[in-house]
Parts: sequence; C-alpha cells; structure tokens
Amino acid sequence: MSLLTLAARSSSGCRGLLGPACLVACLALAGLAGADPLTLVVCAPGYPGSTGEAQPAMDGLASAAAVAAGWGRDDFRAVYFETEEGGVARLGEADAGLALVTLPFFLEHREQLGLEPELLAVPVGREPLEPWVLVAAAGKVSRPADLAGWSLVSLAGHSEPFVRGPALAGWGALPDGVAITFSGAVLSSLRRAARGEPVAVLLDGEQAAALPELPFASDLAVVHRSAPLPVSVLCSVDGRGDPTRRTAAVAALAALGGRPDAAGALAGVRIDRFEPVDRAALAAAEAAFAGAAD
Amino acid sequence: MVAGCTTALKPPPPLAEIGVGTGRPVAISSAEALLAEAEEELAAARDPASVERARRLFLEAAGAEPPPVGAFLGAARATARLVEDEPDADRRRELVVEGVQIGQLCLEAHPASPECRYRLALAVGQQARERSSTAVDGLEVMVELLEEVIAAAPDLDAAGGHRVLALVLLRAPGWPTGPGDPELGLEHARAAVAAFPDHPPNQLVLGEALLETGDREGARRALERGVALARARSADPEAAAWLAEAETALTAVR
Repeated sequence: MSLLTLAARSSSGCRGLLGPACLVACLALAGLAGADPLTLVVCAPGYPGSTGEAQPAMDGLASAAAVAAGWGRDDFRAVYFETEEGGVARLGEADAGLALVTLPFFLEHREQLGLEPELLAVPVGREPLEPWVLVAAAGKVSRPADLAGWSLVSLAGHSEPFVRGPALAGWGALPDGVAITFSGAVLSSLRRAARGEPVAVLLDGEQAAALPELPFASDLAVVHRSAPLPVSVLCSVDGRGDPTRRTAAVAALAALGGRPDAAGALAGVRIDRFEPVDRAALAAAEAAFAGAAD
Repeated sequence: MVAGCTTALKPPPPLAEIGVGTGRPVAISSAEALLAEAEEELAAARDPASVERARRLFLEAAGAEPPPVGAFLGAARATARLVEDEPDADRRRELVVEGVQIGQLCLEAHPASPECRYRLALAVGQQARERSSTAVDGLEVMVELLEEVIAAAPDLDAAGGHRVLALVLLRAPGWPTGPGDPELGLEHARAAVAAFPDHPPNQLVLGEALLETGDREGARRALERGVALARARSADPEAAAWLAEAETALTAVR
C-alpha cells in the first residue's frame, strides 16, 4: 500500500541552515522586509488541493506576475487555501494586499475584509461569468416550496445568502425548512438525489458542465439555472500596502494572458486569463446577496 | 487548485536506455538463469545496492527474445522498492519515470498480461506522487488500468486491483476535477476484504474508506484487525510498514 501514497512528499528543505543557498534566501527575505512585500491570497472553499500541494503552482503564478511587473521574482508571493477559515485568517495578515476568491466567498466577506474588485479570473475552458445550476431527482421538484424539509448541498453552502440570493432568488424564495449544507464532495449527494432522496445539489459551472457525463445523469433534472455570475474575483484587500505596487501587480496579472512566457504559470492554476470586472453582473449579484441576507 | 498538467505516459525508450539495462541479446535459457538469480537477490535484499543488483539482472533478462514477462515484472518491483527507499528527490524522480517505462515495455511485450497492467498502474501512482504535473492524467490512467486488472485478474496480489483502486478513489481530487469518489472507493475496499480478509493492507484500506465515508467505529474495527494481522505476519518483509501505517491510522481514529 505504501507504493500508492499519493500525498506529495515534502522535499528535504534547508537541512544545513547555514548552507549557501539558505544564506542567499535569508538575505533575500531580509531585503523584502523593507520593500513592502505583497501577497496574493487565493481562497476557494471546498475546491481540490491543499495549501502545500498548491504552493508550486502559486509560486509559478507569483513569479510570472513579478516578471510581468518588472520586479524580482521574489517580490510577489501567492498562497492558496481550500478552507474559508484558512483564507479569512490569512487575509487578515498585513502583507495580504490582494485576494483571488470565489464569488460566494467575495460576497460573504467583502465588507469584513474590505475586498474591492479589480479583475475577474477566467478559468481554463470556461467563461468569466457562469450560471449556478440546481439539480434534483427528475420529476420531484418544480418550485421552491417543493424543497421544504430537503437538504441542499453545494460548494457555496458556506454562504446561505449566496444560495438564497444570487444563485436561486431568480427561481423564488426558498422555504425556511431547507437545510443548506456546504460540501466539496457533491458526487455522493448527486447519487442520493438520483436515488430519489430529498437532496438537491447546487452546482458551479464546472460541475454543471460535467453533469451529463455521470452514469446516473438521466435520473437527475436541472431545476433552475441562475443568471451568469462571476466565477472568481481578484480584489484588493482593505486598501492594504503601497497603492502603486498594488496597481502594478493588478496590471501585471491582467497582462499575463497575453504573455507566452506566463502560459505555464496560468495553466498551473487553471486560469486562462484575467479580465476587467463586469460591474453590472457583480452589482446584480451584490444586490441579490444583500436581499437574501436581510 | 491543481498543478499544471503533463501526460503520465510518454513513448518509452528502448530497454537498453532504461536504468542500467544492458540491452544486449540474451538466450532464453540464460534469461531463465538470470531471472532465478534476480529473484533470489531481490528476496534476500536488505539494502538499496542489493535491490539495484537484482534490478540489473531483471533488466538483463528482459533482453531475451521473446522477453519473459517475469523479467519486466521483477524489474518493476525492484524499481518500485528503490523509489520508496531513495532519499534524494531528483533520483526518485528519475526512478519513477523508469518504473513507468518498464511497465510500458512490459505491456508492449505482453499486451494481455494483467500483471503488466497492475505494475504499470503502481508505477504511474508513484510517478504522480513524485512528479505532480503528471498527477491529473496519471490518476485517470491508473483508474483505467486497475479496472482492466479487476476484470481480468481480480485475485492478483490479494485483490490488489480493488485495493489500489480504492486508494486512488479515496485520495484523488473529487468529481469533476479528478476521479476521487469515496463511496466507490469503499465498494472496492469491501471487495478486496471480501476476497482476501487476512491480507493486512486490505483491512487498512477498508479502515481508510470507512473513515472517509463517516463510519468511525467500523474504521476502528478494520484497523484493529489490520494491526493484528500485520503482527501475525511479522516474517513478511512488509509487515513493519503495514503495522506502522495501521497504528498511525488507528491513533487518528481513536
């Protein structure tokens, strides 16, 4: 069984603390301390990967953006969190000047964290705006009231106002008796739904696109499709850091999609490009969220 | 988030270019003698140098015409063992590629062999761990190979097809990013235990699957059985690793 330990082994790191490579690294870090370090915190609750597993890809993205900005490769950093708590905690630190977050996370925490939209990230093979899709057993649900006493499972389940607002307000008001649950592993819930159990699943764009390939897809029906919503939002955080550097970093990220030398770094984080914010779509999402949160 | 992707399987080079293989023609009678010597060397090996010697003999035997399947399978087992014992990350990355290439050549020479498929799946798994850029494609390749193994030889390596597929489904990223599917993983873990209940790794994977799907008490029972079975198999070279893994998992469950 040990042959198949899929978790990545950590590399040996700096074993000799005073070795030349470590000395160079320490000097570089000391230099950065005086140069207002800027960190991009990427947070996608429930999505695959961990902070450690994603770090090489994060390093690639940060390095590509630093090069595009004309900075040293170590002048910009990026770190990933797959939990809401981890992302919120890291965004509270002084060097976290930029955030790349899912729309539910953005809407849930924008006031608390002072998130200001700068760009939209477009995932590889997808659109900058995509609908969220509600799925249930075929023939069981036709209106919101049918969900009374049901479970509603979603990657966005950590934000009930997002589920009730931007995702489903266009369908109608969900009954109070629906239990909204956060889960990154929705396959199990889709199976339960396909068996006719009282479970509905709210899918993001990637999941919705993959739905027809499931062997039990014919037992499921799409109940509602939201208006297209931003997939993930690049934000400044609480006006933190040197505005000139932050603006330069945003411009560098916006330029990555047109730089052949950044293609690998973008592919590493499954992003095709960054685009200007669709202000109308974001305002509509914010309004629907506020309406559901009241 | 996952790392950028490359394919898990690239066309393998000629045998002579893999590791320390000589690639010189070997008479089939000589190959049989080489294989016997290699098996002895590997069985008795207590250090990486001995494993490497055994691997060299297996690769030499693979130069026979027709190449015996046992030569590839032995070389694959030895390579896998070297990967696990190698402290240098760069050397491990070289070895995992060689392991995959040996599995591919095994399958090229013996297209119907479930053993070649199984060894290739294991090698792709090691490669996914050591070269994360191959993981996304590698996990899909593993699932396909292991499903073929289960269909053709469900009892191979004490239901190894079910056991390894269970591990992949338990540990891989979930739908739609990857093949991860804990419930299906539990089904395969149960199938492995049903076929070979006394094989300690089968109980360990069942424990992991039960824990992953929310049955903590069932997981504890499976892991305790795994500990007992591993202790009873103390003569097995892998018993210590099974025991350590089971005890670690059990501590987390209690």
